[in-house]
Amino acid sequence: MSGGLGHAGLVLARAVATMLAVTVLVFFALHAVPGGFESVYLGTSASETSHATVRAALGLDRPLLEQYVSWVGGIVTGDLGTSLLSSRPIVDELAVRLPATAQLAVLATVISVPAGAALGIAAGVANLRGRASGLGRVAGALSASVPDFVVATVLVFVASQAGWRIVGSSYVPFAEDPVGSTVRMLLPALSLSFFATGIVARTTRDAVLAVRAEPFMTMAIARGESTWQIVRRHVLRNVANPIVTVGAVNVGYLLGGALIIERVFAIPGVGEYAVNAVNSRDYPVVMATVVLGAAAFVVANVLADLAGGFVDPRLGARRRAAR
Amino acid sequence: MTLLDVRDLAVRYDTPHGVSQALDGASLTVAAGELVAVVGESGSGKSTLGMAVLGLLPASAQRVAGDLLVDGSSVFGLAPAELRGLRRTRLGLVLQDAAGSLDPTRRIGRQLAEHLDRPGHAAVLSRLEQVRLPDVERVARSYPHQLSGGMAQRVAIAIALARSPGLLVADEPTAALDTEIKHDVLRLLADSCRERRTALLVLTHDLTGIAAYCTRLVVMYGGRVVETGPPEEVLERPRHPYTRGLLHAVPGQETVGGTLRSIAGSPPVLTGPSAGCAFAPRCEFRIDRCGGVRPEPSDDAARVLCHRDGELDAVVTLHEAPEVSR
Repeated sequence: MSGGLGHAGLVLARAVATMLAVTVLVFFALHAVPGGFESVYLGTSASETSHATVRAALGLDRPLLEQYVSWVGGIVTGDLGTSLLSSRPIVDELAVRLPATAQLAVLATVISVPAGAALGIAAGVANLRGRASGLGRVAGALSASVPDFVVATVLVFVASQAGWRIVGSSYVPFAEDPVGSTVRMLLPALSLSFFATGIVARTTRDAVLAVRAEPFMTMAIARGESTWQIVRRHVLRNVANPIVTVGAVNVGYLLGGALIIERVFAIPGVGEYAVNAVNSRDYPVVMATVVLGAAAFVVANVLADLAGGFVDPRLGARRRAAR
Repeated sequence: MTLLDVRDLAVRYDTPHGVSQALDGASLTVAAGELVAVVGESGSGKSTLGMAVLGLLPASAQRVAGDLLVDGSSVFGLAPAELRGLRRTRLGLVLQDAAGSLDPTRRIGRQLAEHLDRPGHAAVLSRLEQVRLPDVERVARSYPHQLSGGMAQRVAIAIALARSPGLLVADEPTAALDTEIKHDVLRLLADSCRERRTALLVLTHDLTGIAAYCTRLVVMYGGRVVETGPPEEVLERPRHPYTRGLLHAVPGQETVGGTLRSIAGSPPVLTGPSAGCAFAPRCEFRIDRCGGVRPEPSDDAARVLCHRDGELDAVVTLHEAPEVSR
């Protein structure tokens, strides 16, 4: 399977290049922000000398490139820097907050991918049978255009009206009480998955319609296979790849959405941490969370890319041939 | 008993790009076990006819007139479940795009097995051997993209014949294949159908290529059947001017000193029923009546659709057209 490894190597190299580009962008963009890091401490009225003192203490007087190299070097060795506000290592802060966000994102994915795939296949099949219902399109548009916080608010309202006690109870770490933690996470995850479900459904529906145009689908119909047989035998495997891909792309949406959802539901996650950091101009924390988010996105896409070859034999072969 | 009975079938496509009349009163019968080749250019309506047999016309297609009966019942009148049952037990389809006809994500063996009444590895291998594939173990393990076009078409034939249907429709089954393989696949189709007493309806543009493998030739033009008969009769004594033209247009069919002539003009794109003979604008034997009166089929078995049927031989000798030999 040297061919497979060659492809994996290519995917990994691309991922590393992407991450490098992200660090460059984040670092130089934030260092170009006027005011400088030290003004977080000093405010606007401090003297030139106190500025210089703090800059020297934080190592900000070194050449920018040198600062960048040492920052990236730190990331590679697992050191994301120190928070300007708390003076604590950012890694320690993230270690506490990452599980909550990861739980939220994973749960939202677990909800959105199967739900979206099922809706998309149903819509696609209905369309094939000439019953292109406007309902599907309206639902899709709703899911794509209603903001997360609105969904969250509505869900909270409905759940509390229904007398669901869990609403409003505070966050419990997964490690302490897996079941209780997951139950409490359901509403936030549902709110977060609303948008992603719509995207997965749309992609799946389009994929079903594209597969429908293939001769092997005509053949399946000509053989008298039932709709269910056609879906099970031919459609599922052929649309699996787009679903996996869109699932990975959705990680980006989910992380962005987590910023807001964590706020609404008071979940002490990375999103809340990042928002607070931006508000207080805690630049090292902002940089660290952006890099972390990008890393999650890149990893999800690498996994999707590698999974594609297993799902669709042609893809594996094409890659092996193209090598 | 008549297996397939197409009666004056007219089918029109209504698309955003306009209306086209694909079938304009086509009539055709196929008896059990018959090997029939429908010959025509693209646009002659033969593919529409083939798809109509399986009840596979797209939503844009509209039956304007006529009917199509399989085993005595109209495919247009069947409930979806009945149509599925008819397709599963009585009909088979083979398309031009052999590789595309197979599900790219699944191994050949599995795709074939699910259509066998008694599936199993041995049964799969024996079916693959029946379509004269070499190294059947490897083929069964392969994915479609790992097979050549010819091999994929043999697999498609094995799947289509898995339940020994009464009628197999093959739409240009060899048009995408290399010349050497073409005849092997056509022979395989004919032999396999003969063994199973399955009737075969081959739709092709290759008049002379198919002649050796069928028991009857059907020539289509402008959405109608213009002539039919045993292949040797049609090839040696073509009666419709279009059939004559087709034979003149086949390389290798011209006599020494004769010329290879193509039919002037191009096939019509009908937007409605043809007022007269659809071939009239291209016909060198055209008379006034041809443009304005629809020809009716001759009374004999050949069912020639020409106003001048019977008078042409004299005219041709007069014009000293090259003689067609086979």
